[in-house]
Parts: sequence; C-alpha cells; structure tokens
Amino acid sequence: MASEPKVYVVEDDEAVRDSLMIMLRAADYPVEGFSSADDFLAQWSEQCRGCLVLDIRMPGMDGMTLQKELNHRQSLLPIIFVTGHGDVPLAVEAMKEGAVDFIQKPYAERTLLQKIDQAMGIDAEQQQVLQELQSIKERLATLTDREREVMQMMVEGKANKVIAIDLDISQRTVEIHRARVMQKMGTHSLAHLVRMVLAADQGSALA
Amino acid sequence: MAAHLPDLRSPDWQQQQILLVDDNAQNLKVLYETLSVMGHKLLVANSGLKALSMLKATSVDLILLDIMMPEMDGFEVCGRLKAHPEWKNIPVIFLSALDDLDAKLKGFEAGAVDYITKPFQSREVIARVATHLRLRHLEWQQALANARQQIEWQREQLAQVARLATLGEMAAGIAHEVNQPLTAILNYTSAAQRLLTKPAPDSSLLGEMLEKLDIQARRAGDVIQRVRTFARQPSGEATALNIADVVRDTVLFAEVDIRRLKGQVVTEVEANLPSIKLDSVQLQQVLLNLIRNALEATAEANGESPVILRVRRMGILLQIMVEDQGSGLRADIADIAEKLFSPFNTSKKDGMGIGLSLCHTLVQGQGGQLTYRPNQPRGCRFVIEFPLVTAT
Repeated sequence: MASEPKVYVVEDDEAVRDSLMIMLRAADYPVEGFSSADDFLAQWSEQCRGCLVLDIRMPGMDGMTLQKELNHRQSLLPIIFVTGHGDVPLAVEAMKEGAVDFIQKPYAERTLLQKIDQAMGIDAEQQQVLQELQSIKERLATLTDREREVMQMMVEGKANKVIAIDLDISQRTVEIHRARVMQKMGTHSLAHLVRMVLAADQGSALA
Repeated sequence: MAAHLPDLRSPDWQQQQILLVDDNAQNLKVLYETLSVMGHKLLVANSGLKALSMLKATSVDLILLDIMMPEMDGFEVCGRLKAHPEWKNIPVIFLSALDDLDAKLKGFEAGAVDYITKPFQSREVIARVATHLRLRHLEWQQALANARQQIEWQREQLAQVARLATLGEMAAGIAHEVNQPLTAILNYTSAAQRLLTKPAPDSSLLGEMLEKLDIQARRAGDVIQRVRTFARQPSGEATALNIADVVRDTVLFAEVDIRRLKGQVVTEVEANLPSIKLDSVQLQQVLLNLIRNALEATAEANGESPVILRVRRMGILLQIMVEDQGSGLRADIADIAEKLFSPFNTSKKDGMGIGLSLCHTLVQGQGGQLTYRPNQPRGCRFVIEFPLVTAT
C-alpha cells in the first residue's frame, strides 16, 4: 500500500461501499475500498496514511474486532465507525478503544466529509510528530558517547564549569563538545535542545 | 359469555341426569318408575335442602320439583336455583296438585320452564321431560359451538399478537435492512450533485448512478413490501394453500434475521405437493418462529451449517421439518415434551418462553401436530404434520 493519504473504506454491503466510494471520489478524496476486514488487514501496513471508514457490523470479522487487531499492530490510522440504527452502545465501546469518531447511517454527506477531514488532519499531525521524532532520533544517533554525556548535563542545566569538574576535563573541551552537540542537533538554542531530548524520551514509548 | 354457558361437562343426550324432588316417598317412587323407561340417570331428593346439597356434588340437566313441601317449598327452591350462577340455567318443571292458574303463573315467574299437574299421565310426563331434555341438549350444543368459535377467535388473536410481537423483535433488523439502501441512495445523490457542478459532467457515469439509485430504491421498497405482507391482518380462514409459496414468503421475511445472525436457510420442498387447507397467516407465524429459533441457536453455537426447511409428503401427511445444527435445547426441557411446549419455559437469555408453546397451539388449532426430536449430530429438529385429507 502506498503511503499517499487516502480514505480506506471497509464495508460489506456492496451498494453502500460502491456509493460511498463514488461519493468520496466525486469530492476528490483518494479512496480504496474493501469488502471485509480480512481483505483490509491483508493489505494493511504501518505506512497506511489517511483514515479508515469502518462499518461496525459485518459478517466474518466485524469492525470492532478489526479495530482491536489494528490496535494490537500499533496502527495509528484514525478510525471513523459507521453504525446502523441502535448501535450506539457499540459505538461508545469503539470510542473507548480509541476510534476518533462515529457516524450513524444514513448520514449527510457534509457530516461525513467533516469527520473525514478531521480524521485525516489528526493523521497528518501524528505523521508530522512522528517524522520530527524520527529526525531527532537520527540526529541523536550521530552523537559520540562523550557528546551525549555533555548534552545530558547541558539539558540538566549545568554550567560548563560544573560539567568540566564533573567529567574531569578542561572547560575548553566542554565548550568544543557543546558546540558539536548544538551543531549535530541542528539548533542554536538550549531551550530547543531540551524540548528535543524530552520528545525523544517520551517518543521512544510511542514509536 | 362464559357466565351464560351451561356446564360444558354435560354428558351426552342419553346420559343426562334428572333430579326428582318430592317430600312424599310414594310420589317419588311413581315418578321414578315412570321416567326410568327413558333410560336417563335419575336422582331423588325428599326435601328442597337435600336437592340443593345434591347439586353441589353433581351436575343435573333437569329438575322435577314438587311445590308443596315442608320447610322449603318448591317456589323457594326454584328461587334459590335461579339466584345461583351455576344452577340458574338448569330447567325446572313444577309438579303440583294445585291446579289453579295463580300457582302455575307463580311457578313460571319463579323461572320454571313447565308445569305438570298431579295426578299426571305417564305419557305426558315422559313427553314433557323428553322435550325439555332435548332443548337443554340443543342449548348445550349451541353453547359448545359458541365456545369453540370463541376459542378459534382467541387463537387468531393470539396469532396476530404474536406476529406483531415478532415484528417488534425484528424492528431493529428491518430498520437496518432499509437503512442500507437509504444510505447508498443518499451517497449516490450527493455524488451526482457534485458531478453536476463540474464543467463537463460525465453523463454516462450519471446514467449509471441513476440505474444504481433505482436498484437501491427498489431494494428498500422490497423490504417494506415483505413487512406489509407479513403484518397484514389474518383472514382467520383456512384456504387451499400452495405450501411452497408460504415457505418462500416466510424465508424471504426471515432474511432480516438471516443477515443479522449471519446464517443461512436452505429449503427443500418436494415438487407437486397437493394444496392443503390451512390458515396461511398462522402457518407463517409458526414457521417464522421455528426458523428464527433455529438461526439463533446456530449463531449461539457459532455454527456454519444452514438451517434446513424440508417439506414433503408422507402418505396422508404433509410433513414440514425445521432442522438446525445449533446449540440445542437445555436437557431438562428437551426431555419432557410437555414442558417443551408449555409456556414460560425458556433456555434463551432474553426469551419469554412463549414461542414454542404458541407454535404448538397454532399447529394443533389447524388439526396438525408439532413434535421435537434432537437432530444429529447436534441441534434441534421440529416436525409439523398436517393430515392431507381434510376432516369434514
């Protein structure tokens, strides 16, 4: 699957799926349709971008089960559940499991498109954060052990003099390391460096 | 209506009971001998009180009542009979030596059906008694016919209530069935409106979408039509039915549950079955109940096997079988057929235990039989049998 953002539609009812795809194409959204959760899973990869419009009730694997499986695979693709009449309790359950939204059939085009835009916005934001995190990690990987030690102390707010004493090196050497760290991390501001290091620490749990 | 019914346990014409009441032993003996030739069962009482206490223990079809008795005279006995809800319809014939008009009128006013003056002619007594017994018998037959009619009417009402209840249970499924094409229709029209705003709308695509719209609108219409067919008022009349049509309509209506429970129904209807006189609405209700039960049991057991509905001729019987490979019946219910078809026994989570008992009642009401057997290797098999030769 390409990483171009698109709307993935998983819906077993052929007419509903066909009409929804035609409608989304007419509104200029890239779309890909699947008639079952299994078909979608078979083609899923973590590169999938955009959002998933998912029917909650389907024969075989239903929408809720697909959501659980995607969560298990650590998919970040936002999910909009499409529910039938009287499926609100199911939808509530789905929201607890992390779905971004749900919509009841039959729906107004505008409402669905709004929800899709919002979901795709969330996905884009998530991607941006992930990309930034990735670039921070790549930069961190270029630091030497000593540079990493110095950076850790800089982030903790220690002065060059203190770092020099702690590491038993000259203040001049600290200054050189410090300049290297700033250069390799691509920043001039200590505050920015602190944010990047924090993001990398938190992000390692995310990614 | 029930309050006006004579005792429906009343015996046959020949077995009707007559109660003779007279304080004079000689008179009783003569009456007894006179009437014994008629072959009816005769009871005797020598006082009004004894007569009343006998009525508590046995049912009587006619009372011959002497007027002049000590303690409680005939008029008073008659008055008490007429004031009693169960006895007031027992015909009373007064016997008395009083041959004056006032006494006779007073007897009729007390509610008597006839009056015989003593000394009597044997043949006259026999003729009068026979007449009143025959009237009593006719009245009883009429009441019985009325009661039967009422039971039949109640059964029809029951079937109607049941089908409405079924509709209620299926409402969510029906709404879903209509919702799908409606959703598709709205999607297609939104898309079409967008396409029309483009500089050069693709007319062949628009045409294609109009066709799809047409199909979806018909799909929604078909669902509504099926509901209407099912929900129409029952005729309450047995008509010559093509059983294959009834089966087809019922399965079509069960589609709602077939999709909801992700099940399957396979029908095997023998070709060239003779038509049979049955109430189609009641039969549909029974079949639908059994099919829905079977689908639910199959879903509960996560079964893949379809529900099989077989119709065939077995000699003089028409046999309809509904089989599933589902979760089966709870052992304590399945073991006892009586329990299985009696109300308020259920092994379903949200069941009321009405379904099978109702099916049983409706099938019996149509002169058929509903029986249960476990299916092999598991699940249930319900068999309905109707005689093909209609009873006169």
